[in-house]
Amino acid sequence: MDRESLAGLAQRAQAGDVAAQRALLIELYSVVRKQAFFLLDSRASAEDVVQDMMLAIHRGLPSFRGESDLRTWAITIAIRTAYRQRRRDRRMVATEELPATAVFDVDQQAAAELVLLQKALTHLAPKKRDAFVLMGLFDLSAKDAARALGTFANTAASRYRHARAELEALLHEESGRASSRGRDGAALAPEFDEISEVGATHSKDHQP
Amino acid sequence: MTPPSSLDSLVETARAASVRTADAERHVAELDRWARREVVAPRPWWRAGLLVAAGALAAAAVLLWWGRATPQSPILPVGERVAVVAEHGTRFRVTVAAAGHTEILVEQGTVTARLWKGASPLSPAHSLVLRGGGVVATATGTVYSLSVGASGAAVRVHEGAVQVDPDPRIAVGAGPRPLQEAARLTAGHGWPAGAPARGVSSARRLLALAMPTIAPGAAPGEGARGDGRPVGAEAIDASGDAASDPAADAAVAASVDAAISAAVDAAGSRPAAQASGERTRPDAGDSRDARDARPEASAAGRDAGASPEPEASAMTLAERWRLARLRRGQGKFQEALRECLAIADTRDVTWAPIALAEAMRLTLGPLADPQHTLQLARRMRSAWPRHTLMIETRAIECRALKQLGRSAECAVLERGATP
Repeated sequence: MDRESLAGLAQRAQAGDVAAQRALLIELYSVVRKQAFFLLDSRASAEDVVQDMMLAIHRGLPSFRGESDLRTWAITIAIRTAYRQRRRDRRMVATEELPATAVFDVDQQAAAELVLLQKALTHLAPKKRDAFVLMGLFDLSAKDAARALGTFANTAASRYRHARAELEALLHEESGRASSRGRDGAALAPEFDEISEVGATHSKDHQP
Repeated sequence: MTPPSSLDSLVETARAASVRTADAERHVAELDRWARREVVAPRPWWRAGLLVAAGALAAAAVLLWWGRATPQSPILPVGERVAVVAEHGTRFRVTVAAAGHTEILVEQGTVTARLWKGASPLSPAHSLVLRGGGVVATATGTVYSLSVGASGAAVRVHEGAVQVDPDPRIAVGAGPRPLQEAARLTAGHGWPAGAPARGVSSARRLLALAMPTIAPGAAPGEGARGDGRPVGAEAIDASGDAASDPAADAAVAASVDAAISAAVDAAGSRPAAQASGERTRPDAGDSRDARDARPEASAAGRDAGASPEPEASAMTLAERWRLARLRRGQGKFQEALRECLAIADTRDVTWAPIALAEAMRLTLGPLADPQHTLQLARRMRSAWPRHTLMIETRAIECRALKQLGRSAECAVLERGATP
């Protein structure tokens, strides 16, 4: 949904249109769900944080003044909620598996790529990861990303560049490993080996 | 398994990925339930406490503001046995201020008056009349209000009894609310029945004033002037003389009108003592001597006629003592003396002897009146013979005697005997 449609929905929702509010929340749910998928390392945390994100958006919607893009506003709320969840996660032993791709309406190949990107992101420092998710995946400008991250635009842009470079290096390295694995059949990177299982898991999760 | 794609293709995939609609709808429906539950969830008790506290604070602030916004009207003494409180916006005139009779004409608004009963056999009966709106309300010892407005007159009795009669000066049946027949009202009642109770707070303030204490059994010399006449009688005579002379009476009424109108207009900014001084002493040039020569005059006399502040009776003794010291510091020795004597009249165990001693210092020092000092010393000896301030009293008395050339009597004093 484009920016104008979202703004129209927001206005109607603020005027008390329940259907518009519902449609808006569904649209924003897609955004925050994806955000949780890429920002958090635990499936349970992602589930919790999506609840919190949506509640925060639901509460904040009446006070949204329309001065900024609604999607950017929702992303900002969501990332702050994700920060809080991360602080909670830091005090816990991470035993959970990564958030599942089952919620996405994608085919096996796309699901495998989502998991690949998700796993690659876990190798980044949190600040670089946040900057990459906001600017790379959600297409926020450096200024908006900086506002959401509570930093300067130059800093946000710098983090994004570093994150991108690290990810490219990581994928390049993995690509080389895959080639050599194709030659001798050895497993080189355990975290990336799981990707082959993603398609099967994804299909199994969506059995009616 | 295909080899990992480039970062750009992964990013494109991630951007294009959308959440399953059914999952989103289920989640949003659940969110609605959560939100509703949150709305009806009970608030923690401390929030209710905070609300109550905030409400109490707001109420207190409103009350304080209200109290400031409506300052109390001053208590105006009229003669020696009458004090009145006029509500804001009231127009009234004191038409008679004689020894045994006070009459006040209320033109508009509410006047609450208190008349003290005579506390001494020397005090004759005194009648207080509030006239206005076609009625005459007469009392012989009470607190009551007369209100005159567009709807006519209304009388409210707060203490004692009041006789309400039609005003003979006004034609029967005239006015917006004519009084058909005389009525006798007692405390808590009013005329006409069902009229709103006015002047209640003023009545409370008047009732809080000290009762007049013209001591019937005063010690020899106490309450007497150089001519030996009792102070009470002398005071009554003075007022009586003024009242008996029609020209003087008219002059008194005129001066009282001017003084009280000014006091009402200024809402207490002008000391009522000035007004009452003009009223009770038409020979104002001698007023200082008259006041100074009567240190044992009744408390009612001071409350009603000589208090330096309009609301001095409402002040605590400590505040009055501070006022006396302030007046002395300002060089207003007569006012300081009056305040000290008023405190002494209360016979308060703590403050009366202190104030009496201060009065002696004032009369002997700045006022240079050793005769008056001796009178005060005798009063001190009579009232507080065992007080520690008696040592200083004897010393002051001795100095006063020396100033009068009676040093021989000082030796008697030092031996502890009465000269």
